[in-house]
Amino acid sequence: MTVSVIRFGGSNCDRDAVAALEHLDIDAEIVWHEDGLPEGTTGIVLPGGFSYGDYLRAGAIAAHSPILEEVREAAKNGVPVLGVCNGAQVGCESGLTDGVFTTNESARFQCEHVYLRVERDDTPWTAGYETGDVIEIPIAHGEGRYEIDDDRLTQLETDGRVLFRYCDADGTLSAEANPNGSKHNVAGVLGDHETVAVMMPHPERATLPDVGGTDGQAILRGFERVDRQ
Amino acid sequence: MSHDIMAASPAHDRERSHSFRQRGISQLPTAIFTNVYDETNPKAFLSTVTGYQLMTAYTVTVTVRLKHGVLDPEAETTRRSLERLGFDLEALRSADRFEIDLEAEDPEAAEQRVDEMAERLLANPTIHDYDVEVDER
Repeated sequence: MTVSVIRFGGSNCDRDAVAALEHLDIDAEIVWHEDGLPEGTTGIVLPGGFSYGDYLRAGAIAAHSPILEEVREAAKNGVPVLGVCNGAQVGCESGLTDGVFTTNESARFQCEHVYLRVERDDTPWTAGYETGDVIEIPIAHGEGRYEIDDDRLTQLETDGRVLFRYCDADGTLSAEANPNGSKHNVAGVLGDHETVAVMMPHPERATLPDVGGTDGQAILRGFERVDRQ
Repeated sequence: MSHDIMAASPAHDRERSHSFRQRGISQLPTAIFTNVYDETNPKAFLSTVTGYQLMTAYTVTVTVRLKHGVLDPEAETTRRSLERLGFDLEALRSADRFEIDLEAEDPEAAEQRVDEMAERLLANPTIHDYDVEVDER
C-alpha cells in the first residue's frame, strides 16, 4: 500500500506527513497535484500548509485543482482520505466534508498544543482510542474556526460525524478550551464515509517521539485499518 | 474625382439611383428586412443579417459578504483599530468585491455566467451571501 501525500504550491506539511507515516511503517510518497493521483494509491493525505497563499479563502483554490476530482472519486470507492489543517480547509472547500474552516475568533494565527476529545472510536481514524479519550495534538492555523449553519451542525452531530472536539485536559468542553471559536468545539469531522476525515490539529506533528508527544499515531494508523477489497 | 461627386447635379443623382435600382441594390435593406429591423435594437438586426452573435463588453461586479450572524474577526479588529484612531462608529462589516470584465450577448447572459463563478468559487455558500451587478463597459 502507498499513501499519496498531495503537494500543492504552498503545502508545507507534506514531508512531515511522509516522515510520520514511514515512522509507522506505512509507505507514503509525495505527489505533485498536477501529476494526478498515481495508480495503486491506497490512501490520500491532503497536507497542511498555505496552498496558493490562502488566496480567496484558505483551501479554496486547491479545492478546484483537477486532482481533487480524482480524490473525490477515490473517496467514493473507499480509499481513505485524511485532510490536515490546510488539507482540512481544502476538504471542506471541495465538498468532501461539510462546513468551512474560517478565521479564528482571535483573528490571530495560533500555534499551540491543544486537547481533543475523541467523539467515537468506531472509525478507522479513532479505532486506536476509546470514545471520550483525551489526546494532545498541536494546532498551527489562523483559519480554523469551524463554521456551519445550525441545522447542518445538528444533522452532523445526529449522524455522528463529529470526530474530535477541543476540550480541556480532563475532557470537558468549554469556551476556554476552544482555541479558535469553532462551533460546538468541533476540531475534526467525517465526510459522507467514515473513511474520509478532516481535522485542523496536526497528528503528523504528534507521531515522531523525538519531536514531542505521540498521541497522533493512532489517527495515521487509520490508513492501515481501512480494509479495501 | 471627389470634386466631380460634390458637384453632381440632381439629374446626375437620379441617374445613379437608377443605375443602382437596375442592379437591384438600392431597395435591398428595407425590402427584405423591414419585418426584422428594430431601431431600438440594431444589434439583433445585425445578428440576423450576418449570422454572427454580436457581443457586448460588460464589467460585472460581485460582492461577497458573510451571512448575517457569521462572526467576522477581521472586521471586528478593524473596527477596534478605527476606534483607537478616535473614530466613532457603531459597526463595521467587510466584504470582498470582484470586478470581472467579459463579453456576453446581453446583460442576462453576463449575469448568469458570473453567478456561476460566484457559486462555484468566489463565494462559499456555507458562510457567504453575494450579489451581482452588471454594467456595460
